[in-house]
Amino acid sequence: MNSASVTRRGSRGAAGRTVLVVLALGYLGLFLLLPFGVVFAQALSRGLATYLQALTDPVALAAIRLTLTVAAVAVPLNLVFGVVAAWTVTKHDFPCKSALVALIDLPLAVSPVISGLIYVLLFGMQGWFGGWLAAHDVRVIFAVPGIVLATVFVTFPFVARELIPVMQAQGRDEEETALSLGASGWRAFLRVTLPNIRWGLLYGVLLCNARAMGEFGAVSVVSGHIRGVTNTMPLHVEILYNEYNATAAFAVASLLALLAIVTLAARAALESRAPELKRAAHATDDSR
Amino acid sequence: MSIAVQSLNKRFGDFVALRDVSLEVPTGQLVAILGPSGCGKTTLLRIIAGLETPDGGRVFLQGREATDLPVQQRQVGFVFQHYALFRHMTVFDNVAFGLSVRRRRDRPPAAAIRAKVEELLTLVQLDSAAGRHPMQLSGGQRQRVALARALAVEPKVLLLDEPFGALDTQVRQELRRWLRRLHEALHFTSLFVTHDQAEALEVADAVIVMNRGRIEQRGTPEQVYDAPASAFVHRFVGSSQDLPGRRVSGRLHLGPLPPTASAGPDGSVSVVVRPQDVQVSREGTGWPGRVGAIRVVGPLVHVEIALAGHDGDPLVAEFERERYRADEFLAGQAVLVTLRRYEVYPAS
Repeated sequence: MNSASVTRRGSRGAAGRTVLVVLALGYLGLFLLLPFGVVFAQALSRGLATYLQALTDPVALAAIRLTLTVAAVAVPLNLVFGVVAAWTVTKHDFPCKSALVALIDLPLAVSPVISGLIYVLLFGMQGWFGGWLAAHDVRVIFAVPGIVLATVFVTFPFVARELIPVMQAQGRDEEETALSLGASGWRAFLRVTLPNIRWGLLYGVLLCNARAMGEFGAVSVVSGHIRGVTNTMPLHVEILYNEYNATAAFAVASLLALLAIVTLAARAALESRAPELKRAAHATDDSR
Repeated sequence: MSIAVQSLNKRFGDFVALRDVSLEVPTGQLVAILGPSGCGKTTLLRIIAGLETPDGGRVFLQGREATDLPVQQRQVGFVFQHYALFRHMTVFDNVAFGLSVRRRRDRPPAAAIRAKVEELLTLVQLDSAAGRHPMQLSGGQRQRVALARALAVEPKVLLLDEPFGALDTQVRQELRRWLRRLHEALHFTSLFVTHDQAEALEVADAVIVMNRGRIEQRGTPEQVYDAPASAFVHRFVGSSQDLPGRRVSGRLHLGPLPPTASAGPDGSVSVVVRPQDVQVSREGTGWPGRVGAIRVVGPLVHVEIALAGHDGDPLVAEFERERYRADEFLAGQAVLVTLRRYEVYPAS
């Protein structure tokens, strides 16, 4: 083979690569970045004053507060649940283990609307526990508890899913060594397991939080859309949009978009700190 | 008696890992459990450590029943094949772990822990690596840290699961001699699991050979090598080869060789012989054969011989290189084979 043909072949390969890169970037730009940009452009289209006004509107502030409250309850709950589930699944053998793993994925498999409806069927006025709850004057559906429950259900798998591959890859040897050296199970968890999974755990919490704040479908079913009371940010965005108040809708939406950017940036930062997380994250994506 | 187990049984689903296993390890001895993968040796070690529960049978540590004792209270040091170092801790913190997790009233003061860790790191020749993380160490260094970590809590017994299995041949040899010297200096009671017969024969005071969940033989390395109790042990410890024979009214018939006295029931038998016990000559009596491939293996020479009337693999005769020079053979040459020593087992 002479050098001219090598060059030609090489340049053809380079051209093909360029086409593919342009195609991929163009696709990303058109379907991801452009809409993202539009959110901010629309939000700021009537100036900064209008933007800030839309955000400081009492109803908007109530929605922001509710979203933060819901996340503040749902994320810690699922943090604990996720760690316990991942620990149970990866460090112990028991019958029906694969069934439990499949069950963890259930919220990812069903439509969020169904997740919301489940709670209406359970706790609504005509639901299984509805009568008892009404008799004791406890409101779940069309109230904050229902929104929290629906969010907990939907964001259930994120921490566990992030941790299971990490913990599987790490095996049980380190924990067993810690036990043989006299550590109690709890000490072994705190001193050996937890430090080994900390980056995966942090990333799982970030994802869980992003979903908890952004969840629409399940929350929409149980919320009842009471302005300033049971509206979360995504629900508030929808209401504003349906009222043709596009600027205000996009202003609130821009906060959610910012959350997404922060989550992604944190992911990139975490991956550069913990290379093992990258592999684990890919493994999770594959299993979904 | 530092370790004793009685009639241990363990199954995993349909797989029987241990069948009625009993053994004893006297205080201060270094004992090897030798066997192929899946023979139950690791399960046995994990049951002694308390990392696995037996389906039946009992475990005694230093004369006391430990069957139901949790792993933390058994005071055993356990060393894994893949070291299992705590990856986020320095070498120092790894070795200090067992002492620093003790409850406050049992925990030695920080200065005492430091002194103990430094002493152990000197012992395993890693005093300069105290501040490093496991990722920055070689395999051999990691395993020495694992050993120091296990010794730090002054365990009653030390259990090692294929401790050198993940290392290069050369490092493995160095490390097992080092373990032998360490044992001679400290006299800890130790049980170690290996599939490498050379390792077992070189390091251990006594060898326990396991196969399919059972103990086949227990003895000194010489006993196990020189007087294998079963065809399996003979084949697994040292190299050996089989020839089919027949026993008829107390006499062994093997190819065209003259029948010899052999006690046991009549029928087909396996005659198992080691390569160094195969004698080859150009004249005299013996089983006629033809020389095939000749290979020089370091200080040894392996000569393959196709025996007349034997369909199986050619028989290998092993010579020391010095001796071989005196009477060299040529490929294709006709020779006569006799067996210096062999064992006879019922045909499998």
